Amino acid sequence: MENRDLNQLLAGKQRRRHELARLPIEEKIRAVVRLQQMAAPILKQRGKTVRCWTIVIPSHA
Amino acid sequence: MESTLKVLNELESDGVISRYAIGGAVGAIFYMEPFLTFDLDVFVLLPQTAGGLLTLSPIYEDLKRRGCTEEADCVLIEGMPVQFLPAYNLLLEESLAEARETAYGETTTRVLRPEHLAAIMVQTGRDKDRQRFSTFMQEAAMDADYLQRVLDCHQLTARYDLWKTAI
Repeated sequence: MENRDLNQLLAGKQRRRHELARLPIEEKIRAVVRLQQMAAPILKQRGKTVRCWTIVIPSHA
Repeated sequence: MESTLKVLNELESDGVISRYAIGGAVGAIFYMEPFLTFDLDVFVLLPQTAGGLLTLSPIYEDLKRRGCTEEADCVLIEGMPVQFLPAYNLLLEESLAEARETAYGETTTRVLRPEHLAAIMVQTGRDKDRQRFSTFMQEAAMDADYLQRVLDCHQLTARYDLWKTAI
């Protein structure tokens, strides 16, 4: 991979992260719960029990 | 989470706590990309007792009456584990006093300012704080002058500069 391609890739990732940072908080919390649901089985296999949030997430205006 | 915040607002209006604000990971997520966390850290200013002792017991007792249960260091409030942290030093007291009101759904809540969250990461200084600090500084919009005043006031500039140069 050429440096130019790598730089484009990294710039794209950076852009995506800034887009995520600008999401409404309700959407970010929705993403956190999804991350919890993905991580919980893995953590359980490692002997760590965690509680995923059972919350109602409002849709933002 | 909105129901959880409503309970926190009730604790404040009922005088169980004098003031609260969201900090920690969820506080940071208000300003940066979402990441994995399992607790809601809530900084609280407690009403002073007659003997001058600061204790979280009144919060736990009130929440127990509301049907909430304790789980490790947290209290489960409306499906969310909440950890109450008293403002135990000057930086946290200032952070709490200057926290911003914001909306979550149709509920008003309070979140620490990004400059204070950054300063708290620097002051706390754990590995996970340093990792979070790196991303936080790249993504959160901050008032540079305000941040510098906070860092200077709490003697955190040297460590901040060290961490910042490593980003």
